[in-house]
Amino acid sequence: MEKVLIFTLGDERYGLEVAHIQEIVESPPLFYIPRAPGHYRGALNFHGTILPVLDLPLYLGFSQAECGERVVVLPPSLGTLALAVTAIERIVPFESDSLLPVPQERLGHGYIRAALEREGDVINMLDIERLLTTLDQA
Amino acid sequence: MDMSKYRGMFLSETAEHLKKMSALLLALENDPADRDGIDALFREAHSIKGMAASMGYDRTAELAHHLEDLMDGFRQSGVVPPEAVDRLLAGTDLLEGLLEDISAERDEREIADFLTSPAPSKKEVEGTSVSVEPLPEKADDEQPEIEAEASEESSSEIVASGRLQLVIELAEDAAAPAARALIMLREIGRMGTVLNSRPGEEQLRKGEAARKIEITLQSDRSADEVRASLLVMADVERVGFAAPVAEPRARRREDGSRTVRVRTELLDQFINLTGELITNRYMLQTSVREESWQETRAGLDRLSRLVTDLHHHVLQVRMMPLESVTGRLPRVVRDLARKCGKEVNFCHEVADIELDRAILEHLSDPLTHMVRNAVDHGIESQGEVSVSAWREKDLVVVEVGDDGRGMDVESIRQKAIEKGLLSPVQARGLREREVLQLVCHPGFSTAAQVTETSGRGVGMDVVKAEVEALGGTLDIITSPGEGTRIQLKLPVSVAIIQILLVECDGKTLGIPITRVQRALEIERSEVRSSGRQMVVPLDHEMVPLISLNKVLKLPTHATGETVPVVVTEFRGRRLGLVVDRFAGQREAFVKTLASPLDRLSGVSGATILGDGSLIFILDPQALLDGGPGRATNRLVGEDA
Repeated sequence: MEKVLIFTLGDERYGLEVAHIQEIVESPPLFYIPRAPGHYRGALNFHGTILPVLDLPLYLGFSQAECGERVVVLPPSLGTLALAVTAIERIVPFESDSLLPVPQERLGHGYIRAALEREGDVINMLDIERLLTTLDQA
Repeated sequence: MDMSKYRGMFLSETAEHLKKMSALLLALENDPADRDGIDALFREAHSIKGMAASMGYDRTAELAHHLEDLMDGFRQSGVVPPEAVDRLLAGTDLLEGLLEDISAERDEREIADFLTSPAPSKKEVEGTSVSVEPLPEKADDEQPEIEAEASEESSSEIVASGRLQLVIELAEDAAAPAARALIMLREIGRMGTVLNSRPGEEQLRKGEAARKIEITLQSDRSADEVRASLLVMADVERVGFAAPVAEPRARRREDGSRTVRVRTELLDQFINLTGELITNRYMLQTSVREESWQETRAGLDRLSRLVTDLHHHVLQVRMMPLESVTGRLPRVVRDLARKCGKEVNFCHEVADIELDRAILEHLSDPLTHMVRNAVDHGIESQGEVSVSAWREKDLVVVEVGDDGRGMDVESIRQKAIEKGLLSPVQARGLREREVLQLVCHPGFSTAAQVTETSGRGVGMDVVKAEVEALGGTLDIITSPGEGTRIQLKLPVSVAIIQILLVECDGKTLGIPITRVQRALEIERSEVRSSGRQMVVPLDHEMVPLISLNKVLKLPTHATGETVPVVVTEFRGRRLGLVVDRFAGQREAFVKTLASPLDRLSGVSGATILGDGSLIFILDPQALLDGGPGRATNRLVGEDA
């Protein structure tokens, strides 16, 4: 049984496997990164490691969406990055077998790996590998 | 037994043996009957063979054995003929390639061609002939040949970064290949993470028929395991593996596995220091409990001394002899001199100089290029190239010199005008030292035509950039007919540097002191404009001013009677960076940045202050040279 963190970007629900999360940090101070593209909100001192904080709603095109105070830190094995999202909701268990293919009309920005249905709501599973690969090549 | 933890040790020791072999061979070329040299060479090959065999690196062992056999023959005859030196050098090159394979956890490359190729015949005589024997191209800057086309056989070439590039072919008569492919994709997903597939899941879902699917899979299973579990699936006809694409993130991880050898005395010192720190902790705990503040103060003083000591010793662990990178230069000079038919004597004096390994690692290519330049452009037909190094206060100076024709300052000045790098007026105003720096301008080359040597690898602009990125400086000293000396002045260690803190729009930034010529407050009334460019007179010279706020695309705040200016050097000329405020100077432990921040041009690292805040460190040169879309001429027109 895996677990998934549910968060929102604008008013859409997204999910990220807990295995892909190192820690959720409560309103950390963010520092100015010179010359950084606009989709970085700043840098975070995470126990001596310097992590850029990606404004996920902005990066994925939710132009009106704001970011909450909490940020999601990815494990170092995945990448040196933290994600700012609109709001963090909760962690729920899920079966990886229950993942559904993404309907064509919902593909949108292309960072959705699969969909998860829960209590009548559709949760988009974030394709974190693809996100990191794109950032790495940007 | 798990041998992998010994791999690092094997690699570093074998690399040392190879370096010695190369040096011994060059010495034998001059003195072919040196008994001790022949014996020493035999022993080196023998050591490599023994270590490689015990580690199970069969090809490396076989090749070392072959070289050892050759040497044994010369031990009998007492003399090493010159063509044998070439053969043995080619052998050491191949061994180096094998070490690279082992280091990258690839299978060892093929050596059969070398083993079966006949020893070169004796038809060429060195020096006199113009048609010099073609030397084997050095293999180290080339990727090992990997079959581009996917095939079953090439699975052994996969780099063990856990990333596999699969090519799966479905049977010709497979019914509903798209559906089959989807099921397969799902199956593969169980073995790891599918990073990419072509055609993608979406396309397959739309029913796009594909008999051939390319997949990038992140998995801890071996290529053979993956293949085996795929081949049992219906309709899967062939599973091949292509060479994985160069993967920057994977490469960085590989860097982390380097090993260092530490002298046991140094380790003992660490243990002693740790002991003292433990004592110190007890003392502090006691004095705090007893509220004895005088004792506490004494304890803190002691702690501060111990930490300084510890820092000093840790830096020592990172120190490596400069010789570890200059050791291969004699070979570079020899090969290149032969290739262009010149007679070059190489003189090498770097004994005892040590530098931080992080600096040394970045010094290898620039030094090679400078030495190649000296042979290629400095020396006409015969002469001497030297590499020397010495300490100068807390810097190390590394100098590459030649006794060739030297550089002509006036013709460089002329050429810079022709190339449009400078206006005639600007060119006249430059001092000799500044003119010489133009050689390091991208796109400037003093060679009349591009030769094979200067045409490849790094140019002087890259050399300069690399040296500056390390916090060093590059100086050129030359006069016509008296040769050229290029001096690199480098910090001994990179980890801790002095930085000047400046503020722009309320944001604090660091600039390495080595980049700052002066930091001064100028009366606003002294700032003048020359065209659209703001300038300020400094030592009888007009120094252009640029707003750092503007460079960083931050709002500007022109207030106050005085203007804080950081004077730095840009392309051989002085330039003033206007900031909002100076915020002090401090020692900083520089952290290098990881992806994606490592790609911000002009940002060389960051440091964490005592209160946990982060400050990014700027490299003004790179900042002004600018990332994409920032041309030099845009500097003109920017004001304070």
